[in-house]
Amino acid sequence: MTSITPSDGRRITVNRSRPSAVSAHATSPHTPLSRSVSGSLYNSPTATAFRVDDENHLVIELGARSIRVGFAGESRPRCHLYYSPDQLRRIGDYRQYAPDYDARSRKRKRGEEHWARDGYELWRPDLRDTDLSFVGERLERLLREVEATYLMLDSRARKVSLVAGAQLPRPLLEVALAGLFGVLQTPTVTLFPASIMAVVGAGLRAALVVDIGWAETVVSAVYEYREVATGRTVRAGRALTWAMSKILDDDEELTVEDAEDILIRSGWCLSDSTPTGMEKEMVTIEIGEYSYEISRKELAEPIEQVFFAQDSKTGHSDDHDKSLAAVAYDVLLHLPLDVRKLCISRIIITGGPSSIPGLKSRLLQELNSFINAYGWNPVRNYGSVYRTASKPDTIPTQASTQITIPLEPTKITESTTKPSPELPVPAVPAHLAPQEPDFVRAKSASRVGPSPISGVVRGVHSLGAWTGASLLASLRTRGLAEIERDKFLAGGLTGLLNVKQPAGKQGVGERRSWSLAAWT
Amino acid sequence: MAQNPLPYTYYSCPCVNTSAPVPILAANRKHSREQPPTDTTEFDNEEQTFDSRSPRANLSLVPLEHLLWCTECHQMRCARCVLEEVQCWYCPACLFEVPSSTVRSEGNRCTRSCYNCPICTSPLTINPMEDPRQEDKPEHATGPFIMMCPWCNWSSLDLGIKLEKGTNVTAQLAKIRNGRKAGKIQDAEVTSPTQEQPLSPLAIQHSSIDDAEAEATSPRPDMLSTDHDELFTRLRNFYQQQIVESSEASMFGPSFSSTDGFSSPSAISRLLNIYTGKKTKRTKPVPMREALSPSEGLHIHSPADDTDSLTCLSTTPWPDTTTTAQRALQPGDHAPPFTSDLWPIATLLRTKRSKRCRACRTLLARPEARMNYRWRIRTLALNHMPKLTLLPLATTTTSSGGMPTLGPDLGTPAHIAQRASLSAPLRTGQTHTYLLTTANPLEDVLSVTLATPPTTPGRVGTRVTILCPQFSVGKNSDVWDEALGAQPAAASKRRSGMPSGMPTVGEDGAQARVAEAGKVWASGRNWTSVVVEVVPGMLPEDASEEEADLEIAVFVRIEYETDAAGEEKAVAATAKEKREEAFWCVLGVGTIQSTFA
Repeated sequence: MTSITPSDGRRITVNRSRPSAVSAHATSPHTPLSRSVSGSLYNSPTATAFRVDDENHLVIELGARSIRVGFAGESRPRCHLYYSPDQLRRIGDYRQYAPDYDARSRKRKRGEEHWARDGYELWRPDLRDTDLSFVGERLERLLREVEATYLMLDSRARKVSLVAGAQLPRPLLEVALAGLFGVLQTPTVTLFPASIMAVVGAGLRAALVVDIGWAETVVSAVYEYREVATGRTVRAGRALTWAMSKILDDDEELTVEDAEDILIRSGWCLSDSTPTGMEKEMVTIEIGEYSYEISRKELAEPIEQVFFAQDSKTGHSDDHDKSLAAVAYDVLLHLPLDVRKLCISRIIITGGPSSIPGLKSRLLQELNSFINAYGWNPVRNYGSVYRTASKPDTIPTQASTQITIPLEPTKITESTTKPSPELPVPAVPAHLAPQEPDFVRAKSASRVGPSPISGVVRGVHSLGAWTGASLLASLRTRGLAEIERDKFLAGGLTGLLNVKQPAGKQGVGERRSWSLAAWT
Repeated sequence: MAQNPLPYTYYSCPCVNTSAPVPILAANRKHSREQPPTDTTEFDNEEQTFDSRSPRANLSLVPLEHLLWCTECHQMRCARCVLEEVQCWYCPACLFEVPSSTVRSEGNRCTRSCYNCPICTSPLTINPMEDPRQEDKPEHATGPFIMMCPWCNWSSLDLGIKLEKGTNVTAQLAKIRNGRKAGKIQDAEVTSPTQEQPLSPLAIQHSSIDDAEAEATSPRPDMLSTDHDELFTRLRNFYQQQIVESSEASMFGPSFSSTDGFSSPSAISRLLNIYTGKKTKRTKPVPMREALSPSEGLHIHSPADDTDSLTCLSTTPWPDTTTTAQRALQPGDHAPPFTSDLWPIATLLRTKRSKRCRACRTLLARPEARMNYRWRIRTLALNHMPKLTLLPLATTTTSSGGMPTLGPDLGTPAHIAQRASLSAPLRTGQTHTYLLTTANPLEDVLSVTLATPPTTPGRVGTRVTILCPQFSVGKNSDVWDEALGAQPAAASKRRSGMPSGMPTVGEDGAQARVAEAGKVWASGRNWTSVVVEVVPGMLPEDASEEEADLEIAVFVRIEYETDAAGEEKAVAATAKEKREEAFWCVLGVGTIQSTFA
């Protein structure tokens, strides 16, 4: 086992090349990695040596607001396109290039319901009023544009990995797959869930992923590369840009472009790590020919309102009324103890608005204060028994166990039940007694390695879902949900799932059963 | 308002209805609530008409000039019913061709000296830094060089970049950039010691806990750079190592199912072990662990990072922050927040592509490989489909009101006058008359049937009447046939293929004429004009601009008899094949004037 010294890892390249084969760092002679993990399509060892099928392995991250496309094994996508109404123009309509053309003057439907609806998003989570064929045709056009402008493939893409949220509705998934098979003519598409890819992109196996997307924020707890719990709220990018569009004037909303511009150029979030005096500063914002004087505090206001629910009253139980930290806390609360202690010290905040400076610190800080205030007690109010919040009085801090979070509410049992006089009362209550040495655990620790850090609130940066998928794809990992073109075109997704192959009739290396993994 | 230059005609490619590859999607299209399917190939659902305002229509409407023609399928082919193959790559700035191996290894951007300004995207020039007095001898200019934007005056000095040579800028820039990254790492190394020794698992345990504690309590600068690409490299190395370790352990395990054949030394030793009967100790595969230290790609969040970026934000004025457009232009999803971090953008390559029909793989267009604009093969729909043009009927022009003899040439003064009147807004309730001219590029006589819904869909409800929806258009015969004839009327009479019922129109008397239902307005060698009456409807008060634009959807059906597809000319002379095509067209008429304005 080698550690990668800085000199070793510092081979910085321009990073525009497509790395083809992987070169493993290992001390002992071993089988080349490319063979040991390669698919079982060709079972003869010589055949695998001649395969060059990682050429043109595409990784596509499909979001509601933007799309990332690139080659597997690269650290960055080749292109990151945001959807805009200009992409919906007719061919041969060059009005947008005219010198007197002004996108701002376009009349739009106003109001939050219509905010950024026409052209800025590919779909809404509510598909009831969505014309799916329109979404499909639009996606096909986008993919054609991406292929022609950024990818410029000399041959057809052999493999495509699609990164999408596990919450993606099935009809949309079908439309997306149809677009990929139609435009890129690829034989297989592998599905990767976005939350797990974010975990891979952070180098972890378990984490709490807070993915702040466009239409909704998805908080998912991942344990051993599996999603075990999720929470969702509409407090996400769309709501944030809408709040940002009202920042200059309550009655007059800005255009989507302007609102996003203000957000990324000057949006910030209050937290413990805010430099002193920053709130009182004044900023001059220029939009078009106009300039506005506005205080930093006002610029942080939409984020407070939308992400931290400053506007909603406490006591609401709907997920959409809770702040992001509260949703994350709820997800953690519903996790089993072992999963929770791992997830809590691996919190990944990702998605578009997560790059707002201060947001990550603030979220972690809020989550910490939730845990300090409530512990892990799902009951906030015990009625007449305890009017005050059941806040544990002492938190045992033991550096050896690393678990600093009280795991059970202890007060009630102590106060309501009296120890029976027959039994001898121990001098020290069991939960305060020092931990007895656990030989089994010590033995397994020496074999498996160190026990992972757990129990403290800790944020981990991820390189993002696209990069995670690019990593996985370059390691030739097989996805759980791999969809073949012919079978998909024959029956669609429903057809895929209903196919029952007769036993003994399948070819060598053919997949036995179909699964959509997280998407079923 | 911005509007496409009138007149315009869009053709709807019928591939919309046939290209649904998935049955369920096709079913969706059948039962779509918002947009009824526009079935053009079969005429079974006549009630459902084309709605040019639906968002889907925008994706399927193409100007005739952009359409290709498949000679095998006898159908138009738009961008989505062709398959493309890259012929060659070239840089649009320096026009050098790039071989495919370079594209594969170096990426999709020019590797020479072509760069664009990161602020305003105009091409950068590379100038020597010497004073301008020596400009008269540019070939003797010696360094250092800088990159300048001629439009916004950005220069590479803003980044502190000076180039030694004026050529091969890409390599020099990469060197500078890597040097800066390395410099940052070295700075960090000075402050904190690095782990150089390979660590035993136990050591990792201690160090990682120490690290975590240290980072949780007192944030300090990371000893390794947290650059995205750096982290990626480290993470990949880490994963590769983990995979190797776990697979090595499993090789001696009982499972034979690993897919590595017998070509590796370990596999052979495993086989030998089986035959010699030696029992190796079966070790369980060590599960992959997570990254534990920054050298393995772990990047822990520290509040100090946020403090730093917030301090930067508060000290940077608004113009020095990057806009969304500038961020989007930076290659590789690299979004620096401040303009001081923007890097010159290498020019994206372009491709020349050949196009094939998606249905029958016939080559439709194939450019020449050399750097010129010629095509080897290009079959345009323009040469195979009738061209429809809508123009206002010039009632005010005092010159001869009829059409010029040589077909609809838009350059004549009469038509310039007509084009001027196109921009005049349409008034609600007033009858406007237009001439719809159909020009025939084929060498066969076309019989054309036009159909349009009596009122346009949507809230406005403009009434549209085509006065003569059935007519024929003469064949595209030799131009001299007509030019040498004495009179156009006589020429058209002499045409053999013309049906006898075809009304012929002379030039005289056209001005005082009133358009009659069922009669062709004018016709020439290969064109025929009919009158369309348009009565714009009432514009609602809250009408959008799209609603104010009046477009007419016309269903065009053409029939003609042509030589049979069999190539033998002897047979072709006698055997005629009847062909039929049908498609929707959208004609731009003008803007309805709002009565509320």
